Amino acid sequence: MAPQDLDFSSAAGDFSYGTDYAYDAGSGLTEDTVRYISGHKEEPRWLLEFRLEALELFRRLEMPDWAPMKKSDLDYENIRCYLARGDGTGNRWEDVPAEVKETFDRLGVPEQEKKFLAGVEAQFDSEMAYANLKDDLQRQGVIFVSSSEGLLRYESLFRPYFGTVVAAAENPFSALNGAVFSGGSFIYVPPGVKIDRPLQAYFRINAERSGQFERTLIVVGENARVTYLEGCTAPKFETATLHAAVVEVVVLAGAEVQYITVQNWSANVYNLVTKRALAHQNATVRWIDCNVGSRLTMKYPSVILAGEGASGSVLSISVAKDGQLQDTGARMVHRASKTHSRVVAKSLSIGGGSAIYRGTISMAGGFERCRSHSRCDGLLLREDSISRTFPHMDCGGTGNVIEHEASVSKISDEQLFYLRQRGIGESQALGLLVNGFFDELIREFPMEYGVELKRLIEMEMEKVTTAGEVSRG
Amino acid sequence: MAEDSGSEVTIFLESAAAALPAEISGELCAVDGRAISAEERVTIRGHGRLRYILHVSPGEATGTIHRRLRCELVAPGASAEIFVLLHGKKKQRLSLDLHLHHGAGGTHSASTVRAVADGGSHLKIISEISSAPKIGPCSAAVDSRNLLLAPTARLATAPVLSIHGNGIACTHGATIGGPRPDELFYLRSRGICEEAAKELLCAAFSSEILSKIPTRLPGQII
Amino acid sequence: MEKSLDKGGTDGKVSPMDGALSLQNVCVDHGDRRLVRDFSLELRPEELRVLMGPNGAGKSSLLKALAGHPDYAISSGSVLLDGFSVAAASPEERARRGLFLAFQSPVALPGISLAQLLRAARQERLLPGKSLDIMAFYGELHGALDALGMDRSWSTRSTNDGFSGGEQKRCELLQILLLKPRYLLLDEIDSGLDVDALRLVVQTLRSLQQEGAGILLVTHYQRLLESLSPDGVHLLQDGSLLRSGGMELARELDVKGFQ
Repeated sequence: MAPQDLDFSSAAGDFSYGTDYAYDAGSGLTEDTVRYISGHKEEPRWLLEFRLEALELFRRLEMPDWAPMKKSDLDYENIRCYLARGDGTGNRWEDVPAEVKETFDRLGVPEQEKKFLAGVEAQFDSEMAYANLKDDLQRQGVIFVSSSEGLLRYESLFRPYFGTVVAAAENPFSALNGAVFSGGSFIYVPPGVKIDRPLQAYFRINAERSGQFERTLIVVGENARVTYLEGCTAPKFETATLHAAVVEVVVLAGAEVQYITVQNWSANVYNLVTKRALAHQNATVRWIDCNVGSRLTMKYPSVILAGEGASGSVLSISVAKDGQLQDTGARMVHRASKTHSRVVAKSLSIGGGSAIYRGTISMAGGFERCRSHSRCDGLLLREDSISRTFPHMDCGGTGNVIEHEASVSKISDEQLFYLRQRGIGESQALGLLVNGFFDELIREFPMEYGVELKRLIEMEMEKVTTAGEVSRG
Repeated sequence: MAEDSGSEVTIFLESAAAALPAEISGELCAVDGRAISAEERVTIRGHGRLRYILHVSPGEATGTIHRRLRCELVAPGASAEIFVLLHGKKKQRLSLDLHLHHGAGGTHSASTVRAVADGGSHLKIISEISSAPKIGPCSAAVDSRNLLLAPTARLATAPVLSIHGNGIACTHGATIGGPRPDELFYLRSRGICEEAAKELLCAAFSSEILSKIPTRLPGQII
Repeated sequence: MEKSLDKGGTDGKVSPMDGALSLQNVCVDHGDRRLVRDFSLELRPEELRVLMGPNGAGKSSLLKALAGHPDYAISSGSVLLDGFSVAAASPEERARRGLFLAFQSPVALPGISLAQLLRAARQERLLPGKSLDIMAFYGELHGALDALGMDRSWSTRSTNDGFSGGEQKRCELLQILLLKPRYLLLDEIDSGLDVDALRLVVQTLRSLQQEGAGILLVTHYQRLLESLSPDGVHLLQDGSLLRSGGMELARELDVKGFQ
């Protein structure tokens, strides 16, 4: 598989084709919006009620005190919550309408699928334009469809887990998602099935002043294994775009899940995601979370370690440039003995960017022999860059250990001078130092993503340094 | 209270009304062993140095003790060395809120926090290091270790860093855990019962801070 | 071999009549403190000159200032590198024109391997649009590692990260072999080395000299000099050039100290 097929750069996504939407819930957020969506999808009554309750919750809930934004910062009157072309979901690229296919061609999605993926879903604004899973996996009983299809066709698998890991009442945006969600993946992996190539979902926002509210539910049977990759792009509009997603992952005994997100939304996107995994006995969950784009991201991948021997980890990289706020972190809740959690978070603040880490490690329930280790490092590139860490650790019980290390530093003049004295230009030198900073974390990523991620970081660095805004200050 | 630069003055805060001076421009070592709640704010000027040793161990008294210290290092050469030992027993609730703010380049802070939570106690430790924008190089370090001695004890800690891009190099390490099994076992294998072993380990843990307390001389108690 | 930006031509050898590193009445400031005053020296290709003096004399500061370290300024006088005034040049430009500073305590670069560093440094010396011949590069790198008695695995280690003093110096030598500078500023390249390592340093310096490099060596130790036959020994004290001479000056200083 050729690594250059993965292109995470935001320039790759900065284009837009005008298109007609046969289904449009209109601007704003009312009960009618919700009924329109649910009606169009022909949903059962229980789901419509779920949505309506969620809408009510959205109206009542406020953001917590510590949040960097208030619910009222966004203008919901002017956001279009549901836009669909009405083409349905094709499972061959030939069946996808030309305009839409063109978008995904340009993003390289069909190529990637051919070369190294076990299955792909491509979402265009509010609906899945394309979904395909390799035949042999289908025969083994693996399900990989959009959330709507999952709900309608596989209700007995979907419904017992839906809403059990992330409640609508959690925060205003999990509630908003509950009210107007559309798209996102439903994945079911039967017990014992180990999928060795990744499943990928690609989320494309095409329309201006819209919101994308995908909801993903992944259920992994006992001793099964799957890797899921989530990619996303949007054109750079002048107006704000909202992405409020919910991801629930249920990992049954002995199963393993790796969930990789490389987020490089354009600078007008508000990216608010609630993602959580519930790990049963001896299950393993790994969140690999990279945040490079968006105007504001709030995302704290979390794992509830609910069965003995479960383990969860979060590997997080974030890059915040001028005008960006990456507010990310991890939450580990130990609810059984002998559970293990690990967090490694590295952030880079360039220009006036602000990187914030929020972590919670909770071992307060009277369990024993749990261990947690977290490490967060922040690198600052300029005097107006900001790095903040807010780690919370709560421990009780017997024989439990929580360890945390953090550091914040600036690129040292000595290191920069050393490289320049070897004839390496300042901009290149900064690139090397930044990649050196992320290196030990990127080594833990699957190789293909590691290579592309390094390239992405180099490009982000170049944008800043070639604009003449280098580290001195 | 005399504060001449060039020599360190030591004070022991013992009465309930005693407090740290609001401004420090000389070298001051302050020892505070009072099991009372207090909220203090200190500004350290250029070349001022504070060494503060806080030991809160309410013994058998139950209740809540809340200690808050905000320390601002406002000019080059200012430095602060903070040592804290909290020891909670029974149903005590102890909390510490320590905030060191670097307002200028050339400032340094180092904080060592040790907390022991015994049966039924709840301890909460918040430590924050912050720096102002556009200041020159400075350094800050926090080393926080917390010992849980009983299953009914509870300890929460939040080591916060809030840093603007400048020359500050800042590190933080925090651990929470019980006595190390290998240490316990070693003592027990020498015939020492578990209770006594825990006490020994707790004493060793605490001694790191207690050993910093200078001998008392007359005239230093306030 | 790639055509390079510096005046090395196609085989790195330079005619002895070309250029010099020429310092005239140089003053070096660190903030508002003057560390070196009125220092003049001419270093020609194939020459080896030694700079000696007590700690705090200003030797390291002078070398750093010549290399363009941000904390040190050449506040007056001139520094010409083969006729080119370095006053306004960035550190990387001075480097590309053939200047190399071997640091006394090289800084660690975690996550940047020696191979990465050298590849980047070599790539930057090529004309725009040209790519480094990777195979040839690794051939050279391995050859240099062998010559220095270093294992191949060195190339993947993070530069200077956890290196002992001797390892740091070897790492600087490795870079010299790969970058082929014209003028070497060596800040105590011999400190902390055992006998074998010292022998290696002497060998390497001698062959570099023969290939046309000019070397300015800062050292405290006499024994290295006996094997090197310097073209000049210069004593710096309190920022000023007190005396210049030949080997006999070095011997005298060794016996009498810096009085």
